[in-house]
Amino acid sequence: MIRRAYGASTWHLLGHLVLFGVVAYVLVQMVGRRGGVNFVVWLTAGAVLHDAVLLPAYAAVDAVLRRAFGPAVNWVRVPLAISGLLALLFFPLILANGDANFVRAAGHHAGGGFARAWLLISLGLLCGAALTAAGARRWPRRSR
Amino acid sequence: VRRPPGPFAPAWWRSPLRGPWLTSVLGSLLLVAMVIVAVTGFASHAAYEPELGHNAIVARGRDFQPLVFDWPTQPAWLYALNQGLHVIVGLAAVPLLLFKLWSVIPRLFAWPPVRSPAMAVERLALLALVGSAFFQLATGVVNVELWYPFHFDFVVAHYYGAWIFVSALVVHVAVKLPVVVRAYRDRGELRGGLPEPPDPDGLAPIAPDPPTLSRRGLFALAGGAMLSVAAVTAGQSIGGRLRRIAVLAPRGGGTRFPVNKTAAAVRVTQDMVGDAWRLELRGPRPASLARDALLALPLHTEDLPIACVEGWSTTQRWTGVRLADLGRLCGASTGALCLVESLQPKGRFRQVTLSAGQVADERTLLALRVNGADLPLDHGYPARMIIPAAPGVHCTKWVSRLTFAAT
Repeated sequence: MIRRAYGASTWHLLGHLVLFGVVAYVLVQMVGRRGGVNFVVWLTAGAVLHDAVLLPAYAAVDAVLRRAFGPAVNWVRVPLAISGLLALLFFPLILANGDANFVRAAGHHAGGGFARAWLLISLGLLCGAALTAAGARRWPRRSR
Repeated sequence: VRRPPGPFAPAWWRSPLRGPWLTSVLGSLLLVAMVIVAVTGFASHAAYEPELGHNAIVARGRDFQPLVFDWPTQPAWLYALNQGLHVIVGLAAVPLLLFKLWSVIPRLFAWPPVRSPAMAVERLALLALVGSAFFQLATGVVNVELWYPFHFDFVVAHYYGAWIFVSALVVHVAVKLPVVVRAYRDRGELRGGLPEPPDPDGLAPIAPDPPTLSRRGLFALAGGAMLSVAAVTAGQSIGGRLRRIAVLAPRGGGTRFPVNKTAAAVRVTQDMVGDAWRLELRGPRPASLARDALLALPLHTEDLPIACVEGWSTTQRWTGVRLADLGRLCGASTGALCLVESLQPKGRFRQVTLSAGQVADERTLLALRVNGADLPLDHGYPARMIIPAAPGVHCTKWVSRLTFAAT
């Protein structure tokens, strides 16, 4: 009966009702507080930004790389992917967004050390991949 | 049914790697990481001993805390390990989450978007799951990087966000378990070939491109990305030589003995800690002790870590008076709790209530010196608490008063 009208089992419905109960409880706890609306925005923004911006953006970059480098694409794709991931995770440090808090809390500036480290890692990955690719072309592996 | 063009057309998705088996493996690996992050997260909530005094940050009784227990003081590195895992695994899980979502993106464009009430409910639950996953990771990441671009209280929001995430994850795993089991069972028939055969969920491509990356290559990239993130951060928790390569860890790299909050940040000045400073002991026999009087008491030296909720930790050699000795001095009974108050005029952690176990542990010190020298002002001069296995912010700096009481 439930399966026909609803499209899944009673347990499916009950489980989801509990989940929505938890979400509702959390929203009630948060919305009345300072930054409550901001909380709701942040809670949904990540999913929207990922699906609408981040994924299409890196898929487009990847398509360009595939066209430009053909069968050698992985030598470029892998270092760029890791460099991009580090940028995504650590851009607040790299751009020193929290510098004022660093000074207050830690007693020193966030500093250019993070930007330099990220640049050096990225260059190192790209150069390492380029050298390995050149080596692989110069001394091809014998097929067994 | 007429489908709109573009991503809604099944032939739009051409990667030969996508398929239910790939998604199942990525999902299983991500699940392991998320269980570690969730368990350590709720354990950290317990480590703050929210049931004592004014320790609770998330209002007590409204926090659903599943793990109610007296946080131990043994082993001393317990909280350092807990938070190291929470932060490093959380950071390293980001590439896994991105790969997992990449593998299921065709599902977002399923047509018709809703076939039944159950499917509508499931899609709403997925918004809660993916939304809260990014919420937890994004707020956690910017918080450890000391950047606060949001208006809400981080601790409260990250805690309630975890409740949405864990609930949504449990439901998701229950709903998808049969699909995962089927994918693992059918794997035997795949024999490693690409692509996976078309599946009812539309993950595997119906018009695949020739592969530019093997499935093994994709796992190597995901693993390499996770290892890279761990390599440039884990040193701030593990220490030793790894600290040198932790070049993107907020408190890694140069500093071996980071400061969490400077004296200036919480408005503690040199005048407040001069010769006029006294430690006030409250108990059955109240007392007031100058720093020289404290130094004349039996002193003990312990190697103990300061372990921050943000994931960094540092072990130093502390010298000071046992908290239990100070309790006995003012006549406190065994089993007493201790309210520790700081000179610092503002801030959430200007006071903390320590549990009976923390007070009784012989390694819990009111530290006066560190590494053989007087405490620097930023590390809590004239006296600070150091408690084995406690969160760093409970090791109160610039202590002014200790109140021993049975409850």
